[in-house]
Amino acid sequence: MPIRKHNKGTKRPSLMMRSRISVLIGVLVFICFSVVAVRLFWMQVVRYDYYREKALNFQTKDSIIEPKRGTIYDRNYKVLAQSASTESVLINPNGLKTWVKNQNDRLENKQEEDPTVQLLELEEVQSTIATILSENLGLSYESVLSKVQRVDRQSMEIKGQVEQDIVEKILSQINDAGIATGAYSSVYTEPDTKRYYPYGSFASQVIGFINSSGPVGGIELEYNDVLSGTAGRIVRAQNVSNSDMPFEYEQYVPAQDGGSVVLTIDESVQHYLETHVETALADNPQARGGVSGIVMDVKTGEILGMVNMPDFDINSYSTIEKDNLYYNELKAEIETYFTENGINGEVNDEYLCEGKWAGLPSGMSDEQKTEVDTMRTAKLQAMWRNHIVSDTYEPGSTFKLMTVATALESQSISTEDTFVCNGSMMVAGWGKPIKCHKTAGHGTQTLTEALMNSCNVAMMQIAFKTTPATFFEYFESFGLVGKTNIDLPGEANNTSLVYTEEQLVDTPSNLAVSSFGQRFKVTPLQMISMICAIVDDGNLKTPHIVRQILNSDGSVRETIQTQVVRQVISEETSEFMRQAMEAVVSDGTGKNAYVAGYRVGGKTATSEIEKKRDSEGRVIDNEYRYTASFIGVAPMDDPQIAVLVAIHDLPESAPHGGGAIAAPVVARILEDVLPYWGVEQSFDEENADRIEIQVSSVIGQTEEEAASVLENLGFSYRTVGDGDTVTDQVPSGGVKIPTGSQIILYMGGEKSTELVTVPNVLGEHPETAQSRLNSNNLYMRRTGIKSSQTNAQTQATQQNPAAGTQVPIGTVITVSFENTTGVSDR
Amino acid sequence: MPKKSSLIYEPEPAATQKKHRQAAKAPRPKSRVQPEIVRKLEIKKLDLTTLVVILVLMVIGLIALFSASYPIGLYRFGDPLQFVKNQSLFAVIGICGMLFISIIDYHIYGRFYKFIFGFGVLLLVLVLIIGTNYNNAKRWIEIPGLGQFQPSEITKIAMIIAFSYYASKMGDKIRTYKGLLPFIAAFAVIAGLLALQPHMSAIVIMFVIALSILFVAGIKVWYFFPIGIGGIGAFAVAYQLPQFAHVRDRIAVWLDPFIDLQDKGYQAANSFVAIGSGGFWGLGLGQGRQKQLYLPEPQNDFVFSAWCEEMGFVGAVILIILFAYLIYRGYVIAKNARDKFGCLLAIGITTQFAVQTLMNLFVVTGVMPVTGASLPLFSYGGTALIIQLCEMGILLNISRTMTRKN
Repeated sequence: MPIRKHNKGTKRPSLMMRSRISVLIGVLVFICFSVVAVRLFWMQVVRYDYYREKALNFQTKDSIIEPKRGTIYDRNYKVLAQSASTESVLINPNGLKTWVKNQNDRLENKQEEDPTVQLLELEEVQSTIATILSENLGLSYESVLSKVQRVDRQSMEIKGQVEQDIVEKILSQINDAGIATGAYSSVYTEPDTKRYYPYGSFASQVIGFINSSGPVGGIELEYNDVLSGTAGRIVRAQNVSNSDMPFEYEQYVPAQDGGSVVLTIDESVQHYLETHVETALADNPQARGGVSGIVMDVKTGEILGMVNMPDFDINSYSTIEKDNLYYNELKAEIETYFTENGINGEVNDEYLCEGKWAGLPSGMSDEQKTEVDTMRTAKLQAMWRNHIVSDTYEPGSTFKLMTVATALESQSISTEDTFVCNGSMMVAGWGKPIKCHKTAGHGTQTLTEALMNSCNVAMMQIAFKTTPATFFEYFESFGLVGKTNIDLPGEANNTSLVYTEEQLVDTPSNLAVSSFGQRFKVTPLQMISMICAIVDDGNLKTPHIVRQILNSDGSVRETIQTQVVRQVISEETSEFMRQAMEAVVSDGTGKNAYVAGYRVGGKTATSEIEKKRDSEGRVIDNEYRYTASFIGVAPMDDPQIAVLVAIHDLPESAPHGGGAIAAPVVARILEDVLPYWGVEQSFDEENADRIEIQVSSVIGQTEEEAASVLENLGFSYRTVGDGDTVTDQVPSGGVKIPTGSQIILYMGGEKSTELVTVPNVLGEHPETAQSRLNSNNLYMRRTGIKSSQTNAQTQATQQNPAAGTQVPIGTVITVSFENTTGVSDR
Repeated sequence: MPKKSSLIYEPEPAATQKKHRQAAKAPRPKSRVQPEIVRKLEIKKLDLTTLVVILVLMVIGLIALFSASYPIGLYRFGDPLQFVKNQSLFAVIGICGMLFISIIDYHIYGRFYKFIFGFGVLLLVLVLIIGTNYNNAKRWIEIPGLGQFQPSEITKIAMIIAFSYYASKMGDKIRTYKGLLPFIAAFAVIAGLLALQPHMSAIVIMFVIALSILFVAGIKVWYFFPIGIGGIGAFAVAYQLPQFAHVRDRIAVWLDPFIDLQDKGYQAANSFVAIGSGGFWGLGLGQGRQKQLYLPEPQNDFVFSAWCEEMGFVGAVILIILFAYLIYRGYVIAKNARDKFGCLLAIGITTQFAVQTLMNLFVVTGVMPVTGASLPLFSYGGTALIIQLCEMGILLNISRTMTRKN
């Protein structure tokens, strides 16, 4: 190995160089790498837990699993509200842009081999997606496109609550168009739920609804904790683009689906109630506060039906139905606003019903539009409000039952006492005599008669005998101060709206007006609970609307028991009150609440409302206004059903007597509900004419045989034709018609298939109506006021089928009669 | 040529055998073209240990790269093998180049040192004119069909050759103040051009390389104090300059990357998490999670982080021992080089390898702030890999002159 010698630099590295190299080795090899090793030891061994925690944090994505909201059932497990899984459709506009770019990079490579390959245009892809989305989701193309083009955004929601099949259709169409789907590249979905209310406007204020911020009102709000369930979580290892990582890490906390709620509401009862209350509103269009109705199970305090008309369709809760009370009020208010602000143009239904600004005149500023929106929101809130629970009213004469029951129970009076009414009474604390509604006076009355007459003077006398302290004690005992604690949200607390004990003691006139239910306010719910206590042996129950709470698997989690708060009055007092209430209906002001075959009791009320004032305290109503109400209970020998109907805020000029307009509504409700509820009909002499008997078929029999059969049933008959045997009959066998009706027997002939026109009998006296229908070969089924109460003023108020309807001969026409006199209770 | 055959039969890992056979063909035609060079060479045995360590690191590097780049290749390019295929090709080319260069007498570089140095400077000028701009820095030159490369890589080796040759020629004059001036001037030109890109880390690397050459060449140790103070001063000034705003940012985030997780701390934080969550034994080869698009550039600067996550503390220490050992061997070669030029050349090449390796390890483990520093033999990048292997070829050639004494 000869060593080449050069002039310079050919020498071997000197000792100094070699030692300096050792220094380099020491620094760069040993020290520096040791630093790295120590640092690695620190990170990987000492701080391992810290970094592992961080790693899990980085690499996992937490996703919330929405629980399924529970179902709301009626008492017979009919579904009133149900949730279904849907999807929210979203787009990643930024991801789409990136996807197109990446796709083009790939396509460029292909283009080199095959020049026919076309590159993608971002705008084209965006418009394709916008077209597919807008067509399938029923949205405008422009609005969707503007979202798709927001390339600065990672996520834009296109539409929520989209059904599964539509989502699948959208995704497959996009894939067919050659565009990738998924959160990373274009359209993707997230789970969502939609609430369905199969019955629409049914019990809407009771059920409530859910808007974007959560449950609003009703059961949905009150039982939200039960219904909503608990959200679950999936912690999943995912890479940056949200696809699952190839290694397995998943932590799954399942969602707890919401429990279900079984209401005490009965779908059929509620349906009857809604039908008749709606009719009542239609009959009394001037009722500014609408009409409320409750049906309650007397024994348990369960609410069987509860409605305030006008109501709303829960599925489109922000829609005000055309031409209803709120629609008209809103329209009038907006028109006033327009005049005051000099706005030309008209508001149309698009705004009034749906609240879309497109329905407002174009000349309005956004501020004005917002002001108008405030008016509309107020109407919506009134429409959503459960007035029975959340609002108070002056109960009026129905309250007299409490006054009497209190006096009897406290032995301030006895059932034998009589009361003299001269038409008015002077009371300390009131400037002028307090009048009875019959200014001539009721004369001397028994206790029952005082109730039948709804005599104010007698009530004042009774209250004074009771003493204010006792009166207040029972007032409280009947649950009329505070809340009933029903399981519905927003219950009004009327503590500040009733007289305190001191006020009753100090000012006799306060006690006087209280005795007949004026100048203090309670909720309709408190009233009906109080009545139920009076008729049910004095047991005051907490009203409730939920029977059962079910687990998500359908098993029963909780059954809500009847809660007796206290026994307010004795069974004996209750017994007397039941008799008195029955008398009110059979002979007193409550005549129109009579339902044939049932022992109905009740009490009418026509309460004065304080006149409405404007913001400066000036009275703006130029007429007296009233609430007409009736509380009915049946059957009086064993009360089961209580019904309250209140027609709110009627003007003096319109019919406004509780006995005249509210009692018939209660009668109709009871007429439907009692048979449904399984209450047996019973007839006595008084109402024997209302008995309906099933006609037997006598076809093929001789006239004699037929005659004996029919006469045994209590029917008369006439024959048509002269054959030997009956060939046809009207009505056919099996039809129920009132006893005493005449059957037509066809001897050899066939009954005519011609239809007859139902004549109009509205406003007619029962006898006139009967003969008019009979002469048209129709039968009359008489409902309404008791036959023995018939007087010259009794008239038909409803008929079914309506006049003008074409019906076959022998059809039974139901005609409802009411008395317009002798039912006044003011 | 019986000794030449020893080249072909070097024991080596099975994975590279095939490549090696191909590589072996390369020298032959070359040797025919320039027979005088080959004849002049007295081909001695090269340092087998060094070659083995290089090849082992190369193979581990490819495995690590394959594992680390799998997801990013799959998600971004639709081909999980994208990176490892390219890198393998470059590795084969690089090893061929290395083996070929290992038989070229290194003295030939010394003869042309002026041209080589001039070429290196020219490239730096060129990059400022035709370079591609990435993240406000012009460091890359695009070569159609080949991809891009950093001219500063060429400049580094050019500077190493020029400095070591010049220093070895200079003899004891290096110990004088005057003797240092040419070096200072030459470095100032390079540093100035790099600052224009700007490329701070390259300046630092080159500074350390130049310093190590001069240190071994024999400059007075007390010079280090003014150099150190000057260096710190220069750094302090540069730190304030607006052009170096990105340096400032990096240092600020360096202290706690988790504070600015979404932006500037993202890289470091993900790297730390990858390393730390690997634990003592690691998650197992291929089981890494941070490479699933969390770790930025897992195929490039952060390939070591992915390795640490999968192989744990044990695998990481084995790897750094291999690196340290290779560097140690480089200095041993320098120590035992036949002449001063060979010694200094080996110092320069080894120091460059050491500094780049350490810089990357420091960055990914957080010992220093994040800066663009790739890991030699591991990080993805064709031209860089080829240049590194070629430099190793020079080192191997120097090793052929080693005397086995001491």
